[in-house]
Amino acid sequence: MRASADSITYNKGSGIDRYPFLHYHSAMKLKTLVANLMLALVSTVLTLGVAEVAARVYLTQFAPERVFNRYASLAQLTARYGRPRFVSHRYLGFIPAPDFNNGLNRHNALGFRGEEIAQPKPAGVFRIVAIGGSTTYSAGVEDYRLSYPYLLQEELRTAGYEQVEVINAGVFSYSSLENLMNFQLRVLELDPDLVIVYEGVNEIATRLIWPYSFYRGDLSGFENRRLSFEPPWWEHSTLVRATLVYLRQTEPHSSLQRNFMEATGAFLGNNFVTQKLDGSYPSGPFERRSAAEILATNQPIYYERNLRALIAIAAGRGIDVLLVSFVHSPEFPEEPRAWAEEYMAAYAEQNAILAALAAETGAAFYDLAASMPTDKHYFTDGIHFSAQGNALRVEFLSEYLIATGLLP
Amino acid sequence: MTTKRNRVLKVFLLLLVLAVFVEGGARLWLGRFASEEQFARIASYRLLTIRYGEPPLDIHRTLAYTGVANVTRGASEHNALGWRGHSIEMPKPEGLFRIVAIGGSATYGAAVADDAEAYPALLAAELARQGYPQVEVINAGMLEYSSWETLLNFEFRVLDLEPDLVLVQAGVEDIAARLVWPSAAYRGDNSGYLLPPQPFRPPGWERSAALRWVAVALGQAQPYYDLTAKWRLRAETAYDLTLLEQARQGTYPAGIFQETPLAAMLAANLPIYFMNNLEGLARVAQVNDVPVVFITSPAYGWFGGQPEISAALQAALDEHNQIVAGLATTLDMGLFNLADTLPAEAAYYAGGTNLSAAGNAEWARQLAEFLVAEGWLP
Repeated sequence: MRASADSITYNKGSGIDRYPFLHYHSAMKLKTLVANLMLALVSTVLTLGVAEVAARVYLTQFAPERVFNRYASLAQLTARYGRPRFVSHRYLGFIPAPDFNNGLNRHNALGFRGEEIAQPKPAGVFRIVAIGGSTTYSAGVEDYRLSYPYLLQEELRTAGYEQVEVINAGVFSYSSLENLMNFQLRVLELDPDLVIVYEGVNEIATRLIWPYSFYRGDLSGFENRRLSFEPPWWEHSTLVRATLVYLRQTEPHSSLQRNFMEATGAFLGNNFVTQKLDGSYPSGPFERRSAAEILATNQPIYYERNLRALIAIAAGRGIDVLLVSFVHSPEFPEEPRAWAEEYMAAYAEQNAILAALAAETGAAFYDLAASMPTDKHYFTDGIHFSAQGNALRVEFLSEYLIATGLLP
Repeated sequence: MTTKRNRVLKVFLLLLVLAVFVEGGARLWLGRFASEEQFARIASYRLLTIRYGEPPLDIHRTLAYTGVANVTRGASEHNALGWRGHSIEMPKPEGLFRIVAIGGSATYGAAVADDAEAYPALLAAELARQGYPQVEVINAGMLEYSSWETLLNFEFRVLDLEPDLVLVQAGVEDIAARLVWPSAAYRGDNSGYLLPPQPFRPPGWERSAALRWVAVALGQAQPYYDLTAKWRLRAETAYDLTLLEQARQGTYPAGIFQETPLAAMLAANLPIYFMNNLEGLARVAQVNDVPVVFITSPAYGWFGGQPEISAALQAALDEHNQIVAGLATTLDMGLFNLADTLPAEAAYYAGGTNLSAAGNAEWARQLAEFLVAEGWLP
């Protein structure tokens, strides 16, 4: 609009009067230039508009659930799901939103993935609580009835242990700190008879911290709490948002760091993943100090300490603990955390701690990493299990539980 | 027509002048003539921070809040960890015997302005006098920490300091955490009492002292009383501030407490989580080879003119102290029974459960004696 107003001004000559060096021909050239620019602008806007509409239609109508979750704006997510899947928590950062219900997925009134549970625990019920991160929540499956704790309950009941109940207390991104806290603050009041702990990948992220003085027991050097999240202007454009997410310039809203936490400058986990993916590793901070060196400096001391604490508290209350080694499948090129050698070494190191802790404390240990095949179809991304993967995982676990007499 | 308009204008101007006078009067009274307690009740959050300064607290990833790091105000300093006192040497120097004191407002020393007058600093001084110069006492207590925060503080922050002995005092702050209704909202994660940290935005009308006065008087706005309110936003099911307001105004029992008296609320919400938290702390200390001495919580002169309230609160505190003593016995931890040994004299207290400088000094003196006599020191 402004450009065309200017060109009218030039036609009347008043513009030229102020700039006597501008001749009539120049004014004509300028007019053509402005017209061309206008045309370019209009066509660009039109193209972007069409692309934006197409992106929106694809994302909201045709994209698979996972793609939608990754690229959608907050408004789009709210429109589809009604309410967020996670809610803020004073100590834990966030927990699954109580009473969340969306198609095949649901959380109960206490904020655990799955069906309602009776409180206090009914007499005769043998209550197992599964603790861990998204791999316990079972993020790879949309249907809560395909999550590993649910399948384990079904499997054990079919095997004749009808009094067994398995509660899914897994929450995305929980590392050993949140697992211990979750156990103390939310799981203890469920009065569990047995807890199964399965976690590994999130812990490694908390260790990819430099300078090492930021590697602390309270995770304060790893991330800060976000008080609120104000969506930026480009949140309104699906096209811009999807492009930025694709280029890893912004976090998907499904990323919980986006909503509740904010990584500190000392956290190098995202740089590591990005560089491994585009082949630029080691660059930036890793040029001076490799991820392997960082992980060697930031030993899993908190992992060990938190697990030892969990086992001690459980033992004090007569609750059995089963530690399960962490599994990954290197069959997914898009997930460096499932194939990068630094992560492989860290998994092995952490799994060895589980075995040692079990030997030291008398907690049970099941080496799932040794028995679980790593074929692609058992996983969705090399870390999270597919429905088939959960089913097989549950077969191993239930066999172990029955064989070792951990069940009544 | 013009006369009518003039009349409306006059009425409007009159009201405006009146409003200005009322607002001016309210401000004048609040700023110049109101007692400290009246000011704390009526003043907006902004006015409170102007008079007393922002509380020295900052958001924390895991504990919701902790002290602001690296600040000095008068005779009070926070170190890099946000705790009261000088910087802490890490890793722990060879030969040093490191004691870490954890707990809530009493351990922090909320009623004493000088760091040196809080019990941990006085304990270090006392022990140095008695021939234990290699003993260091870190004050890792924080304003209003209950057993929840004390547990997390211990597990995720204090253990990093490689303590040789941990002094734990808890009990007072956990009473408020039990004033949650309905009882189903009383939960192991404290979620029925305190909300997750979130932006604190007092309503715009708070800027008017007169409006705030009216709102507080009508019970439509909660007095702040203390500035930690910003970091301890209450859930809808929390009633500790309601009780405080009724106790101060002499209106108890009103509202919720008419149906469920204080004693009944406390009886419905038994201190199971208080026990869980301290038991957890003790067990984690055990597996980390950290000896623990539990300290019971004394109180004196709770709301003097409200016998029903003070009796119920004292009963709850006694109950907590018994749990502390019981845990110390069953888990083979140390027990220093300050609730019994600190004389019930006004000079030792700064109102209810906070201790004066003299109270802190007496606490430190007795505790030093206890630690030496019972062989807790190297």
